Amino acid sequence: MRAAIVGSGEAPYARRPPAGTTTATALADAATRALADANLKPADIDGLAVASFSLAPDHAIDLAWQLGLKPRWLMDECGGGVAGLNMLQHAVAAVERGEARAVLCLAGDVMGSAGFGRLVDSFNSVARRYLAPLPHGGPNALFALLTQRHAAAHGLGREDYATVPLSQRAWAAANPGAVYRDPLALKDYLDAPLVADPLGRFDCVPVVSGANAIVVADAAFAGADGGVVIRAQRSSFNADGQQGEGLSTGLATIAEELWAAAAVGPDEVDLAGVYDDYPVMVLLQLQDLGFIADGDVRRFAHEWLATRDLPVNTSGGQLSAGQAGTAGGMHLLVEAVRQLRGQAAGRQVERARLALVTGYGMVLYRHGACSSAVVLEGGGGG
Amino acid sequence: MNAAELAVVVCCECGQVAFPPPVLCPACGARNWASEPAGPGIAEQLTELRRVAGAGLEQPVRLAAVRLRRGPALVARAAPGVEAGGTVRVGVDPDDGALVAEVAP
Repeated sequence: MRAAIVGSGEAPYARRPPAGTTTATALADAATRALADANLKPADIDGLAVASFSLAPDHAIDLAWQLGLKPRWLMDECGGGVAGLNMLQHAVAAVERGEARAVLCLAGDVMGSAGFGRLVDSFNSVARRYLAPLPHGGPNALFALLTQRHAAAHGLGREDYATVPLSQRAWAAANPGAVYRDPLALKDYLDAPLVADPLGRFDCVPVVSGANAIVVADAAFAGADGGVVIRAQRSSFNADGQQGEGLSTGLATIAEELWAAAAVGPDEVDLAGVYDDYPVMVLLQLQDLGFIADGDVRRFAHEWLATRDLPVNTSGGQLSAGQAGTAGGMHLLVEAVRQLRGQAAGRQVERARLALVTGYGMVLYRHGACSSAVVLEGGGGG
Repeated sequence: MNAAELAVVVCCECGQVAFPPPVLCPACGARNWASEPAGPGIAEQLTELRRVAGAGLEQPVRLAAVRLRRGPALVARAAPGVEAGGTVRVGVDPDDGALVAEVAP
Protein backbone atom coordinates (compact mmCIF):
# COMPACT_ATOMS: atom_id res chain seq x y z
CA MET A 1 0.00 0.00 0.00
CA ARG A 2 1.34 3.44 -0.89
CA ALA A 3 0.77 6.54 1.22
CA ALA A 4 0.10 10.00 -0.21
CA ILE A 5 -0.59 13.46 1.12
CA VAL A 6 -4.22 13.88 0.05
CA GLY A 7 -5.11 17.19 1.70
CA SER A 8 -3.66 20.21 3.45
CA GLY A 9 -4.88 23.25 5.34
CA GLU A 10 -3.79 26.36 7.17
CA ALA A 11 -5.68 28.19 9.91
CA PRO A 12 -5.19 31.93 9.25
CA TYR A 13 -1.93 33.34 10.63
CA ALA A 14 -2.34 36.52 12.67
CA ARG A 15 -0.22 38.75 14.90
CA ARG A 16 -3.28 39.13 17.13
CA PRO A 17 -5.79 36.31 16.63
CA PRO A 18 -9.53 36.98 16.98
CA ALA A 19 -10.89 36.88 20.55
CA GLY A 20 -11.67 33.35 21.65
CA THR A 21 -8.93 31.76 19.58
CA THR A 22 -7.08 29.05 21.50
CA THR A 23 -4.47 26.57 20.40
CA ALA A 24 -7.17 23.89 20.20
CA THR A 25 -9.48 26.03 18.05
CA ALA A 26 -6.63 26.94 15.69
CA LEU A 27 -5.66 23.26 15.33
CA ALA A 28 -9.34 22.38 14.76
CA ASP A 29 -9.60 25.11 12.11
CA ALA A 30 -6.58 23.74 10.23
CA ALA A 31 -7.96 20.20 10.57
CA THR A 32 -11.35 21.18 9.14
CA ARG A 33 -9.71 22.87 6.16
CA ALA A 34 -7.45 19.89 5.46
CA LEU A 35 -10.35 17.43 5.63
CA ALA A 36 -12.40 19.59 3.26
CA ASP A 37 -9.41 19.80 0.90
CA ALA A 38 -9.08 16.01 1.03
CA ASN A 39 -12.84 15.54 0.63
CA LEU A 40 -12.87 13.35 3.75
CA LYS A 41 -15.12 13.25 6.80
CA PRO A 42 -13.87 13.13 10.39
CA ALA A 43 -15.05 9.52 10.57
CA ASP A 44 -12.55 8.63 7.81
CA ILE A 45 -9.64 9.68 10.07
CA ASP A 46 -8.17 6.78 12.05
CA GLY A 47 -4.78 8.26 12.92
CA LEU A 48 -3.84 11.52 14.68
CA ALA A 49 -0.47 13.23 15.19
CA VAL A 50 -0.19 16.55 17.02
CA ALA A 51 2.66 19.01 17.58
CA SER A 52 2.27 22.15 19.69
CA PHE A 53 4.09 24.01 22.45
CA SER A 54 1.04 25.87 23.72
CA LEU A 55 -1.46 22.99 23.80
CA ALA A 56 -0.05 22.01 27.21
CA PRO A 57 -1.20 20.58 29.51
CA ASP A 58 -3.20 18.82 26.80
CA HIS A 59 -1.76 16.23 24.45
CA ALA A 60 -2.83 14.45 21.26
CA ILE A 61 -5.33 12.28 23.14
CA ASP A 62 -7.02 15.34 24.68
CA LEU A 63 -7.32 16.89 21.24
CA ALA A 64 -8.70 13.63 19.80
CA TRP A 65 -11.45 13.82 22.40
CA GLN A 66 -12.10 17.51 21.72
CA LEU A 67 -12.27 16.91 17.96
CA GLY A 68 -14.48 13.84 18.34
CA LEU A 69 -11.92 11.54 16.73
CA LYS A 70 -11.50 7.87 17.68
CA PRO A 71 -8.11 7.05 16.18
CA ARG A 72 -6.37 3.68 16.35
CA TRP A 73 -2.95 5.32 15.82
CA LEU A 74 -1.77 8.30 17.90
CA MET A 75 1.42 10.38 18.07
CA ASP A 76 2.61 13.29 20.21
CA GLU A 77 5.36 15.19 18.42
CA CYS A 78 7.68 17.74 20.05
CA GLY A 79 10.16 18.55 17.29
CA GLY A 80 9.44 22.27 16.76
CA GLY A 81 10.85 23.19 13.36
CA VAL A 82 11.12 19.57 12.31
CA ALA A 83 7.69 18.57 13.67
CA GLY A 84 5.83 18.63 10.36
CA LEU A 85 8.35 16.42 8.61
CA ASN A 86 8.72 14.11 11.58
CA MET A 87 4.96 13.51 11.71
CA LEU A 88 4.94 12.96 7.95
CA GLN A 89 7.69 10.34 8.20
CA HIS A 90 5.86 8.40 10.93
CA ALA A 91 2.41 8.78 9.35
CA VAL A 92 3.64 7.46 6.00
CA ALA A 93 5.11 4.40 7.73
CA ALA A 94 1.87 3.83 9.65
CA VAL A 95 -0.24 3.96 6.48
CA GLU A 96 2.14 1.78 4.47
CA ARG A 97 2.19 -0.83 7.27
CA GLY A 98 -1.61 -0.85 7.33
CA GLU A 99 -1.80 0.49 10.89
CA ALA A 100 -3.98 3.42 9.80
CA ARG A 101 -5.71 4.40 6.58
CA ALA A 102 -5.89 8.17 7.03
CA VAL A 103 -3.71 10.11 9.46
CA LEU A 104 -4.43 13.75 10.34
CA CYS A 105 -1.19 15.59 11.21
CA LEU A 106 -1.60 18.90 13.06
CA ALA A 107 0.87 21.58 14.14
CA GLY A 108 0.14 24.98 15.59
CA ASP A 109 0.46 27.47 18.40
CA VAL A 110 -1.41 30.43 19.80
CA MET A 111 0.77 32.49 22.13
CA GLY A 112 1.53 36.17 22.48
CA SER A 113 5.03 37.60 22.80
CA ALA A 114 4.90 37.05 26.58
CA GLY A 115 4.11 33.38 25.99
CA PHE A 116 6.96 33.21 23.49
CA GLY A 117 9.34 34.67 26.08
CA ARG A 118 8.32 32.07 28.65
CA LEU A 119 8.67 29.32 26.05
CA VAL A 120 12.22 30.19 25.05
CA ASP A 121 13.45 30.66 28.61
CA SER A 122 12.17 27.21 29.57
CA PHE A 123 12.70 25.56 26.17
CA ASN A 124 14.76 22.79 27.77
CA SER A 125 16.80 22.29 30.92
CA VAL A 126 19.97 23.71 29.36
CA ALA A 127 18.19 26.87 28.14
CA ARG A 128 16.65 27.36 31.57
CA ARG A 129 19.98 27.05 33.33
CA TYR A 130 22.54 28.49 30.91
CA LEU A 131 20.70 30.76 28.42
CA ALA A 132 17.79 32.37 30.27
CA PRO A 133 20.05 34.16 32.85
CA LEU A 134 22.25 35.80 30.16
CA PRO A 135 19.50 36.83 29.13
CA HIS A 136 19.07 35.52 25.58
CA GLY A 137 15.40 36.24 24.76
CA GLY A 138 15.21 33.33 22.34
CA PRO A 139 17.38 32.13 19.51
CA ASN A 140 18.03 35.50 17.82
CA ALA A 141 21.37 36.10 19.54
CA LEU A 142 22.50 32.51 18.99
CA PHE A 143 21.84 32.77 15.26
CA ALA A 144 23.48 36.21 15.15
CA LEU A 145 26.67 34.53 16.39
CA LEU A 146 26.19 31.68 13.90
CA THR A 147 25.59 34.16 11.05
CA GLN A 148 28.87 35.91 11.93
CA ARG A 149 30.70 32.57 11.63
CA HIS A 150 28.98 31.81 8.32
CA ALA A 151 29.66 35.30 6.95
CA ALA A 152 33.35 34.98 7.80
CA ALA A 153 33.59 31.48 6.29
CA HIS A 154 31.99 32.50 2.99
CA GLY A 155 32.88 36.19 2.77
CA LEU A 156 29.25 37.35 2.90
CA GLY A 157 27.70 40.67 3.91
CA ARG A 158 24.22 41.81 4.88
CA GLU A 159 23.36 42.49 1.20
CA ASP A 160 23.91 38.79 0.50
CA TYR A 161 21.73 37.53 3.36
CA ALA A 162 19.09 40.07 2.24
CA THR A 163 18.42 37.97 -0.88
CA VAL A 164 16.50 35.51 1.32
CA PRO A 165 13.97 37.83 3.02
CA LEU A 166 13.64 40.07 -0.05
CA SER A 167 12.89 37.23 -2.47
CA GLN A 168 10.52 35.63 0.01
CA ARG A 169 8.68 38.92 0.49
CA ALA A 170 8.25 39.10 -3.28
CA TRP A 171 6.64 35.64 -3.20
CA ALA A 172 4.49 36.65 -0.21
CA ALA A 173 2.88 39.44 -2.21
CA ALA A 174 0.86 36.74 -4.00
CA ASN A 175 -0.05 34.79 -0.87
CA PRO A 176 -3.12 36.26 0.86
CA GLY A 177 -2.30 34.08 3.88
CA ALA A 178 1.04 35.80 4.53
CA VAL A 179 0.97 38.29 7.40
CA TYR A 180 3.57 40.57 5.73
CA ARG A 181 2.99 41.21 2.01
CA ASP A 182 4.17 44.79 1.40
CA PRO A 183 7.20 45.04 -0.90
CA LEU A 184 10.52 45.04 0.94
CA ALA A 185 13.44 46.95 -0.57
CA LEU A 186 17.11 46.44 0.23
CA LYS A 187 17.22 49.87 1.88
CA ASP A 188 14.30 48.97 4.18
CA TYR A 189 16.13 45.77 5.11
CA LEU A 190 19.44 47.49 5.82
CA ASP A 191 17.86 50.42 7.68
CA ALA A 192 15.67 48.29 9.95
CA PRO A 193 16.60 48.26 13.65
CA LEU A 194 19.23 45.72 14.61
CA VAL A 195 18.04 42.90 16.86
CA ALA A 196 21.46 41.34 17.48
CA ASP A 197 24.18 42.30 15.02
CA PRO A 198 24.31 41.40 12.20
CA LEU A 199 20.64 40.36 12.39
CA GLY A 200 18.05 43.08 11.83
CA ARG A 201 14.29 42.98 12.16
CA PHE A 202 13.76 41.37 8.74
CA ASP A 203 16.18 38.53 9.52
CA CYS A 204 13.98 37.36 12.39
CA VAL A 205 10.67 35.57 12.00
CA PRO A 206 7.62 37.45 13.29
CA VAL A 207 5.79 35.50 16.00
CA VAL A 208 2.19 34.86 14.93
CA SER A 209 -0.63 32.52 15.89
CA GLY A 210 -1.91 29.85 13.54
CA ALA A 211 -1.91 26.18 12.62
CA ASN A 212 -1.29 23.83 9.72
CA ALA A 213 -2.58 20.39 8.82
CA ILE A 214 -2.00 17.62 6.32
CA VAL A 215 -3.80 14.34 5.73
CA VAL A 216 -1.55 11.36 4.99
CA ALA A 217 -3.61 8.48 3.66
CA ASP A 218 -3.76 5.39 1.54
CA ALA A 219 -3.35 6.73 -1.99
CA ALA A 220 -6.81 5.30 -2.72
CA PHE A 221 -8.17 8.29 -0.79
CA ALA A 222 -6.50 10.73 -3.16
CA GLY A 223 -8.70 12.92 -5.33
CA ALA A 224 -8.52 13.25 -9.09
CA ASP A 225 -5.05 14.84 -8.89
CA GLY A 226 -3.62 11.65 -7.41
CA GLY A 227 -2.23 13.32 -4.28
CA VAL A 228 1.38 14.00 -3.41
CA VAL A 229 3.64 11.00 -2.87
CA ILE A 230 6.91 10.75 -0.99
CA ARG A 231 9.88 9.95 -3.20
CA ALA A 232 12.24 9.73 -0.22
CA GLN A 233 12.73 11.16 3.25
CA ARG A 234 15.74 11.06 5.57
CA SER A 235 16.33 12.66 8.99
CA SER A 236 19.23 13.35 11.34
CA PHE A 237 19.23 14.21 15.04
CA ASN A 238 22.01 15.55 17.25
CA ALA A 239 24.51 15.32 14.40
CA ASP A 240 27.26 17.33 16.11
CA GLY A 241 26.48 17.17 19.82
CA GLN A 242 26.23 21.02 19.77
CA GLN A 243 30.00 21.24 19.64
CA GLY A 244 30.40 22.13 15.95
CA GLU A 245 30.07 25.65 14.55
CA GLY A 246 26.52 25.07 13.29
CA LEU A 247 27.64 25.86 9.73
CA SER A 248 26.29 22.58 8.43
CA THR A 249 23.24 20.67 9.64
CA GLY A 250 22.42 16.99 9.87
CA LEU A 251 21.23 17.30 6.26
CA ALA A 252 24.85 17.14 5.12
CA THR A 253 25.03 13.60 6.54
CA ILE A 254 21.91 12.33 4.74
CA ALA A 255 21.93 14.31 1.46
CA GLU A 256 23.62 11.68 -0.67
CA GLU A 257 21.32 8.92 0.54
CA LEU A 258 18.23 11.13 0.16
CA TRP A 259 18.90 11.99 -3.49
CA ALA A 260 19.85 8.40 -4.32
CA ALA A 261 16.64 7.08 -2.77
CA ALA A 262 14.60 9.78 -4.54
CA ALA A 263 16.32 8.93 -7.84
CA VAL A 264 16.66 12.64 -8.67
CA GLY A 265 19.19 15.36 -7.92
CA PRO A 266 18.88 18.89 -6.57
CA ASP A 267 18.94 20.30 -10.12
CA GLU A 268 15.72 18.43 -10.92
CA VAL A 269 13.37 19.83 -8.26
CA ASP A 270 10.87 22.46 -9.37
CA LEU A 271 10.63 24.22 -6.01
CA ALA A 272 11.99 24.03 -2.50
CA GLY A 273 10.66 24.76 0.96
CA VAL A 274 13.73 25.37 3.13
CA TYR A 275 13.20 25.95 6.84
CA ASP A 276 13.73 29.68 7.23
CA ASP A 277 14.04 30.62 10.87
CA TYR A 278 16.93 32.84 9.71
CA PRO A 279 18.33 33.71 6.25
CA VAL A 280 21.62 31.97 7.07
CA MET A 281 19.79 28.68 7.61
CA VAL A 282 18.26 28.79 4.13
CA LEU A 283 21.68 29.22 2.50
CA LEU A 284 23.31 26.65 4.73
CA GLN A 285 20.71 23.91 4.22
CA LEU A 286 20.69 24.43 0.45
CA GLN A 287 24.45 23.98 0.54
CA ASP A 288 24.16 20.87 2.73
CA LEU A 289 21.78 19.37 0.17
CA GLY A 290 24.02 20.02 -2.81
CA PHE A 291 22.21 22.96 -4.42
CA ILE A 292 25.38 25.07 -4.41
CA ALA A 293 27.59 22.80 -6.44
CA ASP A 294 30.61 25.12 -6.68
CA GLY A 295 30.36 26.32 -3.07
CA ASP A 296 30.00 29.97 -4.15
CA VAL A 297 27.24 30.93 -1.73
CA ARG A 298 27.16 34.59 -2.70
CA ARG A 299 26.75 33.88 -6.39
CA PHE A 300 24.06 31.30 -5.67
CA ALA A 301 22.13 33.76 -3.49
CA HIS A 302 22.10 36.46 -6.15
CA GLU A 303 21.72 34.25 -9.24
CA TRP A 304 19.11 31.82 -7.94
CA LEU A 305 17.32 33.33 -4.92
CA ALA A 306 17.24 37.06 -5.67
CA THR A 307 16.01 36.32 -9.21
CA ARG A 308 13.60 33.69 -7.89
CA ASP A 309 14.82 31.40 -10.70
CA LEU A 310 14.86 28.69 -8.04
CA PRO A 311 11.46 28.99 -6.34
CA VAL A 312 12.26 28.81 -2.61
CA ASN A 313 9.63 29.35 0.10
CA THR A 314 6.95 30.50 -2.33
CA SER A 315 4.44 31.27 0.44
CA GLY A 316 6.81 33.95 1.68
CA GLY A 317 8.07 31.45 4.22
CA GLN A 318 8.10 32.09 7.91
CA LEU A 319 10.03 35.32 7.36
CA SER A 320 6.99 36.89 5.64
CA ALA A 321 4.03 34.60 6.39
CA GLY A 322 4.99 34.46 10.08
CA GLN A 323 6.11 31.73 12.45
CA ALA A 324 3.13 30.25 14.26
CA GLY A 325 5.27 28.31 16.73
CA THR A 326 5.31 24.63 15.84
CA ALA A 327 3.24 25.32 12.72
CA GLY A 328 6.44 26.77 11.28
CA GLY A 329 7.61 23.18 10.96
CA MET A 330 4.64 22.31 8.72
CA HIS A 331 4.02 25.59 6.89
CA LEU A 332 6.49 24.93 4.07
CA LEU A 333 5.20 21.38 3.67
CA VAL A 334 1.66 22.68 3.17
CA GLU A 335 2.92 25.23 0.64
CA ALA A 336 4.79 22.53 -1.32
CA VAL A 337 1.69 20.32 -1.34
CA ARG A 338 -0.38 23.24 -2.64
CA GLN A 339 2.16 23.92 -5.38
CA LEU A 340 2.29 20.27 -6.43
CA ARG A 341 -1.51 20.10 -6.55
CA GLY A 342 -1.84 23.32 -8.56
CA GLN A 343 -3.50 25.21 -5.70
CA ALA A 344 -1.04 28.11 -5.39
CA ALA A 345 -3.02 30.69 -7.36
CA GLY A 346 -1.02 33.84 -8.12
CA ARG A 347 2.31 32.24 -7.24
CA GLN A 348 1.88 28.86 -8.89
CA VAL A 349 5.16 27.41 -10.18
CA GLU A 350 4.49 26.23 -13.75
CA ARG A 351 4.48 22.45 -14.23
CA ALA A 352 5.58 21.89 -10.62
CA ARG A 353 6.10 18.15 -10.19
CA LEU A 354 8.98 17.67 -7.73
CA ALA A 355 9.53 19.58 -4.50
CA LEU A 356 12.11 19.44 -1.74
CA VAL A 357 11.06 20.39 1.80
CA THR A 358 13.26 20.60 4.89
CA GLY A 359 12.68 20.96 8.60
CA TYR A 360 15.23 22.19 11.13
CA GLY A 361 14.86 22.93 14.77
CA MET A 362 15.08 22.33 18.48
CA VAL A 363 17.95 24.53 19.62
CA LEU A 364 19.51 22.38 22.35
CA TYR A 365 22.11 24.97 23.31
CA ARG A 366 23.94 26.75 20.47
CA HIS A 367 22.01 25.70 17.35
CA GLY A 368 19.32 23.35 16.07
CA ALA A 369 19.70 19.62 16.52
CA CYS A 370 16.93 18.18 14.34
CA SER A 371 16.96 18.02 10.55
CA SER A 372 14.80 16.28 8.00
CA ALA A 373 14.34 16.53 4.25
CA VAL A 374 11.74 15.03 1.94
CA VAL A 375 11.42 14.87 -1.84
CA LEU A 376 7.76 15.09 -2.84
CA GLU A 377 6.14 14.32 -6.18
CA GLY A 378 2.76 15.53 -7.38
CA GLY A 379 0.26 13.79 -9.62
CA GLY A 380 0.30 10.68 -7.44
CA GLY A 381 3.81 10.01 -8.68
CA GLY A 382 2.39 8.80 -11.99
CA MET B 1 36.66 39.42 39.66
CA ASN B 2 34.05 37.89 41.94
CA ALA B 3 32.60 35.25 39.63
CA ALA B 4 33.74 31.72 40.51
CA GLU B 5 35.39 29.98 37.55
CA LEU B 6 33.10 27.75 35.50
CA ALA B 7 33.59 23.99 35.85
CA VAL B 8 33.49 21.53 32.96
CA VAL B 9 33.22 17.76 33.35
CA VAL B 10 35.92 15.28 32.34
CA CYS B 11 35.15 11.62 31.64
CA CYS B 12 37.02 9.42 34.14
CA GLU B 13 37.18 6.61 31.57
CA CYS B 14 38.34 8.31 28.36
CA GLY B 15 39.21 11.91 29.27
CA GLN B 16 36.51 13.52 27.09
CA VAL B 17 35.86 17.11 28.23
CA ALA B 18 32.20 18.22 28.04
CA PHE B 19 29.97 21.23 28.66
CA PRO B 20 27.06 21.51 29.38
CA PRO B 21 27.45 18.35 31.48
CA PRO B 22 25.86 15.35 29.71
CA VAL B 23 24.59 12.19 31.43
CA LEU B 24 26.61 9.64 29.47
CA CYS B 25 29.95 10.35 27.82
CA PRO B 26 29.32 11.04 24.10
CA ALA B 27 32.70 9.46 23.29
CA CYS B 28 32.68 6.24 25.34
CA GLY B 29 29.27 5.94 27.02
CA ALA B 30 30.62 5.95 30.59
CA ARG B 31 28.77 7.76 33.37
CA ASN B 32 31.67 8.62 35.62
CA TRP B 33 32.56 12.32 35.54
CA ALA B 34 35.04 14.52 37.38
CA SER B 35 34.55 18.28 37.66
CA GLU B 36 37.50 20.48 36.68
CA PRO B 37 38.06 24.21 36.01
CA ALA B 38 37.01 25.25 32.51
CA GLY B 39 40.29 27.05 31.86
CA PRO B 40 40.80 29.81 29.30
CA GLY B 41 39.03 30.21 25.98
CA ILE B 42 38.68 32.51 23.01
CA ALA B 43 35.70 34.85 22.55
CA GLU B 44 35.27 33.96 18.88
CA GLN B 45 32.23 36.11 18.05
CA LEU B 46 30.40 38.88 19.88
CA THR B 47 26.92 40.29 19.37
CA GLU B 48 24.91 42.96 21.10
CA LEU B 49 21.37 41.77 21.79
CA ARG B 50 19.15 44.85 21.63
CA ARG B 51 15.58 43.57 21.50
CA VAL B 52 13.70 40.57 22.83
CA ALA B 53 10.05 39.54 22.67
CA GLY B 54 7.88 39.68 25.78
CA ALA B 55 9.19 41.56 28.81
CA GLY B 56 11.96 43.22 26.80
CA LEU B 57 15.46 44.23 27.87
CA GLU B 58 16.40 46.93 30.37
CA GLN B 59 19.52 47.58 28.33
CA PRO B 60 21.38 45.86 25.48
CA VAL B 61 23.46 42.87 26.52
CA ARG B 62 26.71 41.75 24.87
CA LEU B 63 26.95 38.01 24.31
CA ALA B 64 29.97 35.97 23.24
CA ALA B 65 30.45 32.62 21.56
CA VAL B 66 33.39 31.13 23.45
CA ARG B 67 35.52 28.13 22.48
CA LEU B 68 37.42 26.78 25.48
CA ARG B 69 41.01 25.70 24.94
CA ARG B 70 39.93 22.35 26.40
CA GLY B 71 37.39 21.90 23.61
CA PRO B 72 33.81 22.73 24.58
CA ALA B 73 31.93 25.66 23.02
CA LEU B 74 29.60 27.84 25.07
CA VAL B 75 27.66 31.10 25.11
CA ALA B 76 28.40 33.70 27.79
CA ARG B 77 27.60 37.28 28.70
CA ALA B 78 30.61 39.40 27.70
CA ALA B 79 32.11 41.58 30.44
CA PRO B 80 33.39 45.06 29.52
CA GLY B 81 36.63 44.93 27.58
CA VAL B 82 36.04 41.54 25.97
CA GLU B 83 36.66 41.73 22.22
CA ALA B 84 36.28 39.21 19.40
CA GLY B 85 39.38 37.04 19.22
CA GLY B 86 40.43 37.85 22.77
CA THR B 87 41.35 35.32 25.44
CA VAL B 88 38.77 35.04 28.20
CA ARG B 89 38.14 33.34 31.51
CA VAL B 90 34.58 32.08 32.02
CA GLY B 91 32.94 32.60 35.40
CA VAL B 92 29.50 32.10 36.90
CA ASP B 93 27.77 35.30 38.00
CA PRO B 94 26.99 34.85 41.73
CA ASP B 95 23.81 36.93 41.43
CA ASP B 96 21.97 35.36 38.51
CA GLY B 97 23.94 32.20 37.61
CA ALA B 98 24.78 33.46 34.10
CA LEU B 99 28.05 32.45 32.47
CA VAL B 100 30.26 35.52 32.13
CA ALA B 101 33.29 35.86 29.88
CA GLU B 102 35.90 38.21 31.30
CA VAL B 103 39.19 39.37 29.89
CA ALA B 104 41.73 36.76 31.00
CA PRO B 105 44.12 38.09 33.65
